[in-house]
Amino acid sequence: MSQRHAAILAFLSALIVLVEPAQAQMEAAFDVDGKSRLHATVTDGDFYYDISVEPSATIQLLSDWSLTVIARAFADGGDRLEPGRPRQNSRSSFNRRLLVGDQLELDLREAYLAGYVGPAFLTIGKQQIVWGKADRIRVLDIVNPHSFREFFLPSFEQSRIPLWSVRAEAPVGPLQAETVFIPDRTYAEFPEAGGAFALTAAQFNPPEPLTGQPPTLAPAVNRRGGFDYGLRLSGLVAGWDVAALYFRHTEDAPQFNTFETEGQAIITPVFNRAHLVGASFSNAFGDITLRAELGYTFDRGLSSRNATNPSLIDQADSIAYVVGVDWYGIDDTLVTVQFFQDRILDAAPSNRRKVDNFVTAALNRSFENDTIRLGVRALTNLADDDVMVQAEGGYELADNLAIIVETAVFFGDRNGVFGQFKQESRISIGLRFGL
Amino acid sequence: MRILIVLLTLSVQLFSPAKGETITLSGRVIAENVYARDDGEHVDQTLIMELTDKSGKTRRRDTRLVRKEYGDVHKTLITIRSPSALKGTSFLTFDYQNATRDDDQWLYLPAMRRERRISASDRGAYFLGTDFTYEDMKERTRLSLHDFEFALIDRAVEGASDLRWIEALPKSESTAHELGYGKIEALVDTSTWMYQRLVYWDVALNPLKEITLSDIAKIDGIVTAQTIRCENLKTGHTTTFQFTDIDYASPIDDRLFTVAAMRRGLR
Repeated sequence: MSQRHAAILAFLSALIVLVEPAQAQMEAAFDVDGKSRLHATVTDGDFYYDISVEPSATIQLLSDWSLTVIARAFADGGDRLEPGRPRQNSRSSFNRRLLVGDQLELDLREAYLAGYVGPAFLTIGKQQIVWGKADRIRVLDIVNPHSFREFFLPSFEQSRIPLWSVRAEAPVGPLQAETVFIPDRTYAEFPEAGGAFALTAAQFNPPEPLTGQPPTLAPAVNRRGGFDYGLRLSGLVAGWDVAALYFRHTEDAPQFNTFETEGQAIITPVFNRAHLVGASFSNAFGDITLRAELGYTFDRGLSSRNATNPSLIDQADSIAYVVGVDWYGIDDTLVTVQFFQDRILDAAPSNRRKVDNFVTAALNRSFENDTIRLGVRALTNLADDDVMVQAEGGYELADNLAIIVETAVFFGDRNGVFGQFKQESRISIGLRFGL
Repeated sequence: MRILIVLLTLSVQLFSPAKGETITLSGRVIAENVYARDDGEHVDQTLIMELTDKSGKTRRRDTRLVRKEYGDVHKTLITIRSPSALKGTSFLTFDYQNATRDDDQWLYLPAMRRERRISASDRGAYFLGTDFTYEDMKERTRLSLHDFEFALIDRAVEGASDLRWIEALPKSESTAHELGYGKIEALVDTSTWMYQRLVYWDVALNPLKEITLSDIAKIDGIVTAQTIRCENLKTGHTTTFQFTDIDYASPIDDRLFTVAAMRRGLR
């Protein structure tokens, strides 16, 4: 029996055990949410559309247990994000999307059982696990990988790739302890060459061969490395929300070894194992909420040139932190500013800077009893002076129907994190709907 | 303090004059009696919010609300169950009875999949798009004894009900700005010690809004308003809270009132 079949069998067995004695008291709630948008690129005036429909169901099994299933159908009208049929190499065999033609995909987003066993709350199945307190910056929120087919434009909830995993939460004195175990070896998903948001900036790609030889891509190393697991303690201490965590994991994005011999260059993607130790804090002071998180990574992988062993990459410790301030000084308005720094210690990476500094700013405001919502957000990389600006307006026509207008604009050098997508700046109009 | 207020109330009732005589209660004592009214140590209820704009367009939020008192801390969790776009949104508050300590508040947004600590200082901000402010929600349409000076302004009799109009003026200008209220007049039923109607003026003393409590019944021995309507006199927008499945008797699981449990929300 394959690993995939064993996992599915185990999940179904657990489901049958829980459902069978409880049929008489079973309750279910079904919802469908969706979004359809028509986009126009600013530079070329190209039009394309996408439609996303997300049905979900929550079924009460026993009094304290439930089954939640969330699926998503996504149509990329212009087949621009992942042209053709993506190979899905970064996903484990039981976490792949079902591709219907080039433009439609069906994805089991989440499917998990949740309930109490004694004092512990268990969540078993495909799920999203979110750690950290920052907005759209990942220091501690690294349990699930992300899809970058639309770069940073979708919400993290939409771009996060749920993983088959087990999560247990239980009170320990005044604190809450949480352990996670993740057998699903699925990694971050990057669009292949030709995708609208294919990453072209140097720091996301292998070091170029010095000899100018056309490189050959070797099979990835350690793709089937160890399982991920972690422990998090959190609680309210003297008015502060505090958390501390440890996470042992395979990093979501591969690093590359560019190996050169006479007349040949071989690039090997390497999935690196690392340890993360982190902490987060938040508290409110009058109109202001302060949030901070800090992560120290041991043995972080770095792309490198290695003349002796094509399966190795460099490793170094690194520290990353984010400090954010939310200001609630005006009614119905939230202003947020965050500073994020990522610093590699004791090494000189070959394809990126030792230190990256980012600033984000966001303004959200609602009008007319939340009927109208406006939001503007900017992310900038201070070293490259490039910026991504997103704005969204929504008007609620009815409980489950809203008109949305969005724009995303990229500024800066084409080799910068945001500037590389200048040609993808766009304006969009659409509908958000539910049933 | 609560015991003192109850004793005071009892003494008023014991020495109540014969029918037709006037009872002289100060505005402050009336407000204290309303504040001390038993509203249960814990409650679990469904709250339907209907938001109607001046053109008549109505939006509806189906929520579940649980509240429990832990000594000087009152903990409340509200989860939106529909519409689907807002489903799972949860709001948790730890309301400290010590007036000098800010409340702790968190908001869980399913679109972010994480809870967010939010400021509790903006008490005059409107709650989830309704016409009720965070302060109205926290005080459950009572008037804080710390924030207002009270005065008795009128007496009215409707059928068997002996009613009093009291006036509440903010104790300071900063309190007025914080709450967004320059004056409140409230009609109290002295047989239940429940406000029946509250009329609000803004800081510039322009008419602001009016709250009406109705469908008042005893549930599990506790006097409860099952419908609360708030009309914003400036915008014409109204919010109606309809409480159903009210349960003061069944125990409430303490595990619900944690930040971690917000993610899971209430079914």
